[in-house]
Amino acid sequence: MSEIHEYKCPSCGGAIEFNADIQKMKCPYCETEFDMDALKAYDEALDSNSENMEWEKPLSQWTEEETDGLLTYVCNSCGGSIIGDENMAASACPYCGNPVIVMGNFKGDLKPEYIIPFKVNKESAKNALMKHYNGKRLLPKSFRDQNHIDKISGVYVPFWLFDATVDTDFNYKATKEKKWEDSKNSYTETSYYSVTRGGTLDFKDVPVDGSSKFDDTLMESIEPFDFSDAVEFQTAYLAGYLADRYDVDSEETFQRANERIKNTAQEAFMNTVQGYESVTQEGGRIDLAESKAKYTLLPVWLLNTSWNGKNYTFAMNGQTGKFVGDLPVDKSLARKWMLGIAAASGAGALLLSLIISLL
Amino acid sequence: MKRKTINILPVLLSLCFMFMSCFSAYARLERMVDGAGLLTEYERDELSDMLDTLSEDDNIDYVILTADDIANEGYADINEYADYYYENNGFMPDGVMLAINMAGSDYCLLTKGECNVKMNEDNLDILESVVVPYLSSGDYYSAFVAFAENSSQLITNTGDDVFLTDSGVADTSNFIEPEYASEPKTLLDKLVSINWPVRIIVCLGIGLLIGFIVTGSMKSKHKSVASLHGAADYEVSDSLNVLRHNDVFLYKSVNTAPKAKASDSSVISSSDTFRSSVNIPSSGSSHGGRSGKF
Repeated sequence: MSEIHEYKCPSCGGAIEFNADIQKMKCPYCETEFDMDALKAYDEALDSNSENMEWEKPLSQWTEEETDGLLTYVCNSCGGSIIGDENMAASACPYCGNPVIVMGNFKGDLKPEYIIPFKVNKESAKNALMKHYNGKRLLPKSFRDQNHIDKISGVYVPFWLFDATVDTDFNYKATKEKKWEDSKNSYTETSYYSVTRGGTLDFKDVPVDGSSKFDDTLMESIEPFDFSDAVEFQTAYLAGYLADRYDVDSEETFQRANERIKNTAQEAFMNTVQGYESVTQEGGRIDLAESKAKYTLLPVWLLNTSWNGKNYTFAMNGQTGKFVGDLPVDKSLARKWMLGIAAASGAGALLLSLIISLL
Repeated sequence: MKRKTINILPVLLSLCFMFMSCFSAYARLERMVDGAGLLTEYERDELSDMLDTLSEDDNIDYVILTADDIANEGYADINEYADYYYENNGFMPDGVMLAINMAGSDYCLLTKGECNVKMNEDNLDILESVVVPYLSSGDYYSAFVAFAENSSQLITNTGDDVFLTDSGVADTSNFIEPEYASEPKTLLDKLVSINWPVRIIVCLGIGLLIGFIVTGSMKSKHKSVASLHGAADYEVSDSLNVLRHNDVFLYKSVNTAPKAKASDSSVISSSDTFRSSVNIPSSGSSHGGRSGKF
């Protein structure tokens, strides 16, 4: 027995029937009429929603010569482990700010394919931190006076970089309006369209943080990185700096990369729908072609500090110098500012209203 | 060392009481309702006080109501509008109202309760002859003062024919001509005439709003960590290829909205005043009076 295909009304969602009188499809609930071909095209567009976003994984491994001279430092406080060369005197844990003690030989798993060497030195990082405090009138004085600047650490943070060509089809509902009026009424005619757009879009080096120790939001805040400065990885680049090991598998980071790529692809194709008053996306299909993930180390200056029982982490992009980090707010100072501004503004408003009344 | 803390609860309570007392002072019955904005703040306050005093003395509500266009309220007839307003705003059963519709140059002298009898046809003639000329000349303040004072005189002197000559024509010699109340001249007069409590509360509110906005902006500068929505920075430039596009018309709908109707009063007149006596029984208490054009 053949399957009966039921069409849904694009206006109200009810089941549409063929109306012999008008020789068109007509919805018995909202009485809207449709051409058969238009309805079929709309239905096919809705049925094509799907996602196929899978990635090819990296395979490179460390050699024994490369792991010679690399040591693993473990923090007793937070349990975080970090890699440094045998000459690196690790003074503070970049994750929690406490001193690191235990060292061991490094035995790695995946070797990074690329690295972006540090372009911004420690002095610039310190200056950026002081500049970050400037203009923050609600910053507690005790926080500003704490001298943790020397605990700034240069760390190579593991990232997964994703390259992909995205093949998509999106379908939209769009409207056009025409208005006119006569002596009695105002009229608005709204025409509804089913719109589809499909094509390809390339992405290169979409980064996702590969370490669970670093807050993903913090790492995204210091983007973007310019990969034209990236070089093939060599252990020598680690000298004088710390490096973290990835502990978030590329599969776990796929989701975040997929989400960001999907959002950008949706916006890019939505912008190609022009000439309508309103455009609403109803569904779509996204497939990844030529997708691959690369394991890369990216330079970050990190500082951890605590104040009033809360941890604050600051990060600076070691390539571009972009500095981020949430700062605490002195609540009593904020209250004083609020009341002071309220009193001054209120007095000013009263004076202005008096001047206007008396003129 | 013990930290000093400020107890702001008494301050907040004081502010609340000040706010409530100001509002209670102004929650009284409004007898001077200038919807059309014909008067200055000073004139409005003067008339309001005058109407309150006369109403309390005579135990009758004297009310003045002006509107730009009663069609905006859904009314075509000034008499129906005046009657509805009087019935639904807490006035006494006995009263006299002067209602003005600027859009149609309509006026209505509405009487309620015992005033239907006390403000008889002769008294309405007299009141009209005093009030309407001021309305026609645009001197609304004088018209309203003339209405208030002469209504009270006519109501409280019922039975005396002091306002008619021997030939039965209205004697205007005893009319109360309104003294034009000019704006306060001296700086002290102006300062005294200002509505201080409401003005202070409004300015305080403005100050608090500005305070919240400014400190909110200062706090937002402390936040610099945020996740990214997309990967636009990593999109290869000029790699967007639209290979498939299809725009299919589905259906159209037309929405019709009627335009607001102008007043469809059947009374047509040019610059001449037009008078008609109307005694219209309403769904509530009965009312009398008359209406016309100015």
